Amino acid sequence: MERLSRWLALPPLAYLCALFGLPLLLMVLASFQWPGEFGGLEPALDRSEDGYRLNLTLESYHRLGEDGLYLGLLLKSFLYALVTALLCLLLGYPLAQLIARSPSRWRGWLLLLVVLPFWSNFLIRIYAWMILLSPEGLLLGVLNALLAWFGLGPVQLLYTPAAVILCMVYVHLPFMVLPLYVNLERQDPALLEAARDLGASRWQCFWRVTWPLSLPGVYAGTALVFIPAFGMFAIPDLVGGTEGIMIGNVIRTQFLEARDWPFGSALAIVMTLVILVLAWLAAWLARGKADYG
Amino acid sequence: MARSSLALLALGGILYAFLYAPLLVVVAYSFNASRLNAQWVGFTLDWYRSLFDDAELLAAAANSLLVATGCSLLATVLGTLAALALWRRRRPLLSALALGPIAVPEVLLGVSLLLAFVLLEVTLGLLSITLAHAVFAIGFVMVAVQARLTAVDPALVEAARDLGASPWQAFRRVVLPLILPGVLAGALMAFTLSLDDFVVSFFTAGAEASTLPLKLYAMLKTGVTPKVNAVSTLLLLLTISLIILAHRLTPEILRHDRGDTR
Amino acid sequence: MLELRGVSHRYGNVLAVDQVSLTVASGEFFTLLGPSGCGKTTLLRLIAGFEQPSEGRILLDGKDLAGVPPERRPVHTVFQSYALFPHLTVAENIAFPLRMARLPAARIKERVREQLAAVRLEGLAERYPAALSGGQRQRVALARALANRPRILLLDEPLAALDLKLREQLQLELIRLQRSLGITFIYVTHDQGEALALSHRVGVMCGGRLVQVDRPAELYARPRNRFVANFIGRCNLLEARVSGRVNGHLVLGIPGLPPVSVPAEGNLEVGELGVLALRPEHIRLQPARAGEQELSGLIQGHLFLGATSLYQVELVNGMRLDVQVAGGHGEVVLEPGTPVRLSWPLQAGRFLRE
Repeated sequence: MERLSRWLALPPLAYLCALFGLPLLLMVLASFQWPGEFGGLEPALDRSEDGYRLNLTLESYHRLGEDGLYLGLLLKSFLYALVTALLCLLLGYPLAQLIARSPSRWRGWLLLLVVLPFWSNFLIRIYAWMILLSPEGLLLGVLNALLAWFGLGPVQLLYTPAAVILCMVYVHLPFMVLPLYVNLERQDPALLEAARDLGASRWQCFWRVTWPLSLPGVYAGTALVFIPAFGMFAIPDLVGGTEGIMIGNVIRTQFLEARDWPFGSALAIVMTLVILVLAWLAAWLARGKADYG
Repeated sequence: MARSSLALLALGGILYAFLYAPLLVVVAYSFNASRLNAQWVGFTLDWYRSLFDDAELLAAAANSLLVATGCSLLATVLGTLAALALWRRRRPLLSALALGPIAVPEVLLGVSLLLAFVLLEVTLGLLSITLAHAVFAIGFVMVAVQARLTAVDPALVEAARDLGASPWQAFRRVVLPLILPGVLAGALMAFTLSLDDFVVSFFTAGAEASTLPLKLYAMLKTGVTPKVNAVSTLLLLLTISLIILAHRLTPEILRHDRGDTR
Repeated sequence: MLELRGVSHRYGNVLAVDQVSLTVASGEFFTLLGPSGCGKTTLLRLIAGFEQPSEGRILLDGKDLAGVPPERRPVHTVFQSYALFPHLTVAENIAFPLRMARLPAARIKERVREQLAAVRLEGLAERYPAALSGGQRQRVALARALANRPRILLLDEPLAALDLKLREQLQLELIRLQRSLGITFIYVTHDQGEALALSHRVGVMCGGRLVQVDRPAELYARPRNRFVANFIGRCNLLEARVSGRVNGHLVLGIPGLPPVSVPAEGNLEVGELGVLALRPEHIRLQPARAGEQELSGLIQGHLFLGATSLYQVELVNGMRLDVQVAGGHGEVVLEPGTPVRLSWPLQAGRFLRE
């Protein structure tokens, strides 16, 4: 039986090594190579009469570090992703609470309703906001009328960082709701009753009982929102205008337009490292709370 | 208690509205007889009709379906094998490789695959897109099948073998029927994910191949016509139906609840 | 016809089965009895073929079973959790081994009907396991394992999950079934009452070793050592040392008590340490008659057990003896502190090594 199991693992393992592991390794290697004359890469190994010579460089990483532009962009992407995660938390927590507290007959459906938009095409969801936020649209008309009433100038929402964040929140909200729901649903209602019985106010019940117990869900949800948001490029591309660009856009440009693959690879790798560090940090923080689980 | 519950309910209502309003707007405007997505002018099905005249769009749609089918088949087989290999056994490498593509930003997947395909001289086209989609779909299928596997009592396999079944027969007659809903749900999810995928397709499609999301993107960048609304609405309908179907493929549908014989 | 020779099995560093040798005759109801972790279930799995022994051989009718996978052994198991296939009906479950054996469809139908009748579940053929009670599921598991007429049926604590009344009822059915079919049953349990009631022979296991194999009556009357005496039924055990041999009896010295005689068995040396084993039902709260042994003590407590009662008596040296009396209402209960004299026939006492 054990031998059979090992054979079962082989096909998926081989496929994923070839199409996930290998490309990543190639990209790491690429980040140390020179860009080719017409785009692409200079070969890593130079064949000359004397044999093979290693043709590697740290040029890409240097550029990344020296030019404040890219570091700044990384920081900006980090902040956007963080704000997105926080907003998702703010909106997603009450939603998860609502579902967790609803009668069990409804929970499956309510959860499904939250998840369904996630399964619809990502571009459609962004497009929908492009409509809603367009300068000629109803929403903006009402908003600007309201602002004018206060004597404030008309605002534009489309093609701004605000639109980017709004869309990112919209797209990632289900990812925050799901882990929070799983956690909140498992919490024993008797704990809250005990707290009330011992004199805690409603706010204290939440802050001292529900919230600490929900932290593993919070960390999971935050990670599930932050990581994709950090590397996002389609949303800034469509609704971000010139101000809303994130690191993902630059990576895309390097690969498809500028064709400077080593540099693009270096950017992608740094982005991944940042994510790995943060994920490790989150796991370390969540570890401490595991006993509440 | 009641007052804050009401507030929670109200907030919940607003949030659900927030989730669905944008989509409903798109659907509504697909019937709008105006070129601008601003005011409601009149009801029309013209935009839907025009879809069928757009050869490029139809080709892209056909491509999407083709790729989705291929991806679904590939991912379902590999994902199910992975789930079985991980049944009551730890294989950190396999788990990491299967779930990794889902955990990392799609940009990373896209560019690394582009790099790999070009370096390995794989032509970019529908095949490369299919292979790329399967990379992240495998993880989803695996998780779906694993959900059903955990409910299968391992003693059932031993019982089958004890009663004369070879390992293959034990799998086919005992394990497979019990995990089938999970396998099918996984297949549907893989299909839907592939159908909707934009980022990975964007990098691995090459110059000529086009899928529906890629075409949609081009339409959004160049000039928005209400055709986009119509395409979007149809796509929405399709994916939502598929997902509801996958959701229904949970134990409630089939008579024999869970693999629980106690 | 089933023979185990020096069978041992290791899980990593743990020796789960230690040099077990035994023979089970055809048509016998043999029980492996012991506390949790004693290796009885492991031994069963070795016979079924789910594990291969680290040492030793298992022979069926003289043929070595090494390397033979479970599906090719004429041995079937009734699992503790029943392991009924939830996606198949009762009839399909019972038919499973017959389909694996490629019996023709007509024969299968017929055999399934026979089996259902044998376990008295005729009306339930089309039900699914989830819709059955615990007792019904157990009977389906039995019917399924017997459908193919295996040479040996292995039963792994099949009645453990059932309540008392149901368990007793099914025990009787098991006996009836085994005696009528004549199939060899190898039964595993930690319940000594069950083992004594069902079996032709019982093998007591402890720590992976087979400690004693005997018929139930022998096991009860002549346990080989302290562990067996304690595990089977109630038994008083007092630390003692052989102080002499007189007239074919052993004289035992127990600290603080007058010497006690027991029948001499085997070659026990003077000075050997062990225990005096005395079953509560053999002791009377009366002065000794001719040929009986006697001790004195004080009543400490009384347990009413329904058909019998148990008196706890403290001896002059502080040790305790339990005495069983036929207890019913109307009997006068002796108060704690009452001095009593305890007596038993010489033959009832035994000296056991550890």
